[in-house]
Amino acid sequence: MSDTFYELLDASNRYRCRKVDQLLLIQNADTDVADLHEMLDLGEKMDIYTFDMVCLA
Amino acid sequence: MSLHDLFLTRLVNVKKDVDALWRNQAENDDNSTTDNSARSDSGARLSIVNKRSLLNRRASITGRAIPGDVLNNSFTGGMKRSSFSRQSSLTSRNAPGVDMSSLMTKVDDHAPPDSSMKKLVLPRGTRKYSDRCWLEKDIKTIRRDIVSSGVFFPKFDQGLKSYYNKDWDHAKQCFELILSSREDGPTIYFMEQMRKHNFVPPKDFVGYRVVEQ
Repeated sequence: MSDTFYELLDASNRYRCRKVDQLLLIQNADTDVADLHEMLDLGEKMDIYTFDMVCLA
Repeated sequence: MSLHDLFLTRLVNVKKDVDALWRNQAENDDNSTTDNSARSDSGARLSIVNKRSLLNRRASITGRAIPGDVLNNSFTGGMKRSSFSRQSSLTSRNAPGVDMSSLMTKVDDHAPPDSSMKKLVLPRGTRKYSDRCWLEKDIKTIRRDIVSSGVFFPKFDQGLKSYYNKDWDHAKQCFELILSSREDGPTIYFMEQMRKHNFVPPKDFVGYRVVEQ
């Protein structure tokens, strides 16, 4: 789930979620940007969370 | 971990998940009187054990064997026990020497109906969310190994932060610790990413996974 959805959850459910990635969403036109800092400024940041329900061990 | 071990681990994990759905007849009867709307339709559920016993009794009368597919496809509600048959065939092809009978829940078709018989209780219908669901036996069972040790979540979090902070040595330690006790998709993904770069963060690493829109 996205961080937008995650933030809608109350605290008792948030702690059951796990952040698994963080994305920098950039437009195609921005891919030519050579400066990494500029790319960080231009891009939209998004955290991705998961909710583990499967018995893994 | 070899492919064979990995296969066995997955097989046992699936069994654990399915086991959570099996209940003793007496236990189920107790629950049906106390649980909420999702279990109020227990009368609509088919007793697999009873159905199997009935079909086998018919077979003994007619002298004909009941094919497994008939049993599997005779379950109502569109729910089939096909996962068992798939696993059985997979196992026989891919993991010779594995005794499936030890991994599957056994149902004695010839035993008389009594309170110790088990029924496969599949979830049906809608159910309103309640905080109390986290205290239910099924939920505890399928989340037990994730939350019981108290290590998995914090270690993964530390590893992820280190990964994005370019401290890949520490990230590797954290992820290896997780993988030593369980198989976890996100952990495997980040280990693969680091392995691709020989566990040294590239110069253009921005601390985010860049996705073009």
